[in-house]
Amino acid sequence: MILLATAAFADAAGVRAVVDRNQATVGESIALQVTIDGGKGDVDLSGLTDFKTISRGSSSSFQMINGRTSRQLIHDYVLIPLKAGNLTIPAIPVTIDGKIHYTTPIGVTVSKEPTTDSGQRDVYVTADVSDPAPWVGQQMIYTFRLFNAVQVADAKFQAPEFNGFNAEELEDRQSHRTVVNGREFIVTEVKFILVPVKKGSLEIQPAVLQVGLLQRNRRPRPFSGMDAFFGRSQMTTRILETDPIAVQVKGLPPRPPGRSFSGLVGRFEIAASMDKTAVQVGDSTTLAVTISGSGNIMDATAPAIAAPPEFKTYADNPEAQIQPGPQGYSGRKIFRTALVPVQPGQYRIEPNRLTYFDVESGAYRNIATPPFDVTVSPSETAAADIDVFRGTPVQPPSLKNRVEFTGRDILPLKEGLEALKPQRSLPPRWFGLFLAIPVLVFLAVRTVMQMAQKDDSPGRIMADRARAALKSAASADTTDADFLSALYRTLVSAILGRQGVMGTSLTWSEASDQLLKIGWNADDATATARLLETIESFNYSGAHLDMQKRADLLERTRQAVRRLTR
Amino acid sequence: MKAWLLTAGSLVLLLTVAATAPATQNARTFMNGTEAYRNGDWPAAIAAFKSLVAKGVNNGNLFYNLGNAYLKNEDLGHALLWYARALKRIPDNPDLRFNYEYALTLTKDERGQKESPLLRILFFWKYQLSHSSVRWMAILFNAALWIALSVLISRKKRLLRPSVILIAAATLIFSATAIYNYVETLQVKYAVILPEQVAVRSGFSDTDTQLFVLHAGTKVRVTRQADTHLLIRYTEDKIGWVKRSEAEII
Repeated sequence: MILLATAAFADAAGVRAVVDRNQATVGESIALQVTIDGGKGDVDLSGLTDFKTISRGSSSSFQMINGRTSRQLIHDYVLIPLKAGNLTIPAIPVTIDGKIHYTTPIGVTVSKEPTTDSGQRDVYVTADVSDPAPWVGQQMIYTFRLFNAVQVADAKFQAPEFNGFNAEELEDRQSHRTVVNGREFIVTEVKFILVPVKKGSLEIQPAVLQVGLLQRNRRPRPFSGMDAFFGRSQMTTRILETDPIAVQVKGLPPRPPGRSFSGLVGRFEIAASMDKTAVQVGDSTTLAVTISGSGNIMDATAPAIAAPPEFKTYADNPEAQIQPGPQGYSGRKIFRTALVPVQPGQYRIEPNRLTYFDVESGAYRNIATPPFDVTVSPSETAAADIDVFRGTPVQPPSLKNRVEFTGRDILPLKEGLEALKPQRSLPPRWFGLFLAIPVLVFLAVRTVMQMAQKDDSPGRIMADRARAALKSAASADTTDADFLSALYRTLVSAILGRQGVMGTSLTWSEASDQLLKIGWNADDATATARLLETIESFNYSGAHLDMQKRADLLERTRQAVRRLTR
Repeated sequence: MKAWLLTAGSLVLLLTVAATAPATQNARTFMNGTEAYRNGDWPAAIAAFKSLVAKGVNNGNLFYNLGNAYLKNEDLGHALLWYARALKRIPDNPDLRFNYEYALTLTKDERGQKESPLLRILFFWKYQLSHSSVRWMAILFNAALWIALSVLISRKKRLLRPSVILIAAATLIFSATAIYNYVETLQVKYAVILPEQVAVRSGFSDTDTQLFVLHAGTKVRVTRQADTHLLIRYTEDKIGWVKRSEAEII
């Protein structure tokens, strides 16, 4: 089995391709190695159209020969031939540093696989369905089988899409042994329950199984002769596909008139039982209707109980016992209804009828429960006695039904023209701006208010008065009396305002004291106090002021005020 | 003077007609789409609605109609794509919710990234309100907050304080949600698988290893975008590349 099939050394660039063998059957794997000496390169396998390629990763190795180191990068691939014949692995382009190098083409002889019933294959797969021409809604079994006569490992199963079917895989995967043409195989089965949901020609795509086969080493290695002794083996990968399966799904025939089709497709029975047929008024008796069989039993809905109007009915939640099995879904569903008569008499509970589609006969079938005759006698319990039990009320059975969808569809279009109004998204910058505007407005208003707010302290008021009086004094058309009075008010207001007190008059000595208190030196304080005295004396003496004197007094007062209100 | 008035009047009339012409044309196209839908001509309905989208009509109800038309046309992938786009604009629309949930029952794959129900309860406003609603609520609460603060400071009324705290909390919640929505829209992209079946591969080439298979309508998260391919994440452990034509970003 030691086989080094083809080792094709390419040009001086150091690119070569090697396969582990050049003879194989369809579906059997061939290991391909592309080796790049000296560095990295991009391998393009798009030209391998006759093979399915699977990358197995890459590895690198370093060698040192006579002091010189060299590096190899090895890309591993698995090739699966897609057809029989003399195939060629073409020259594989490898791009190294922008330059394309090619490996040498390799010829591979691919033979057809022997037939499955020949027993010559080591491993193969099959698939079939229990009924290739089912009705819409009829359940069928899809069975995938793996036959292996050699040890397999790392099996990866990819089920078909089952387009047009509702599919559920049965959890139990079974294995058994079988003999094919004198050779023993292990058969592993994977089953799916399929229910076609539409009529017409449907195709179940191939199922794919990737499996590793444990085989003796084929590639020559140093001391490979020891492999046989030690029983060493290596894994080869195979991709196995089943054949596609054509299924012709038949539509259900027209429903029989006058009957309500239950939607059940398969094979079903209906039965009913009543725990008491002789009851008293107010007592309850339970009618249990059981629908059993195989098919879409889970879709069975509660039958309508044809009870006389003298009965109150209380439906219980249905009890379902449904199992998926090798024959599909089967089981039963029990619908219990409590019947409480309110009038004595003889009554008949009419049969419950069920119409389902029988897949064996290919026709709708009507089945029914037997009728029940119920005798209702007057209650022996007097009303007064009943009152005794009213202290412990019993929760009556729920009258409400769980609402289920009876059909599925989408809600209609929005036909209003508001569907044409653009719904533009607010850009983030506008959002940020809208958030910032109230903050900015708040800050601006607050600043303005602070600026506009007047200082109503005595010092501020007196300073304002001083300035106003000085302005009045500076007016050219004032009389001497008004002029002097204004200067007096100016000085008094400025001095008192500096002290932070209100007032309208000061003597020259008080003025001097006040000025000394605020830190003026004695000369300045005395000078300003003398100015106040001078103004006052001019005012009381009634002497005429010439222009120069007025200007002098005004200037001295202005300087004092400027210093005091600074 | 009379001639001048006549000219001006004609010009105004002409401008008015020119402005309303596209709107009338859109309305006609929309009516044609709904009419085709009623008549069971789903491809014609899709073409009409898509032409409106191509003209820039960005409306949740229009996207809902497109989802309906695609679903009737048995194109589950595009149906769920447009329903998902509509949900971003009108998440609280009950008809849309109903149809979207119904379409989800038709998908073959389980939901990949499942959102925690606890998160949906704790941050219910994020899931129940559209992005636009969250933004405007944040703006309105913010405006109310600063007005209330102004009143509180100017009138010095202590009674207003609890109200201001409540408004501030609402402002914080909705502003943070709006910002999160912006970031999420920018950073987190989702896509919907369009064809019946898509092979998710380890690379761009058709010969690259098929990692897993997804089916029409499955919602995946887009983690990277290349020129021709999208790197998608179905679940934490299932990541791979698909062609851009096989999955469209919501």
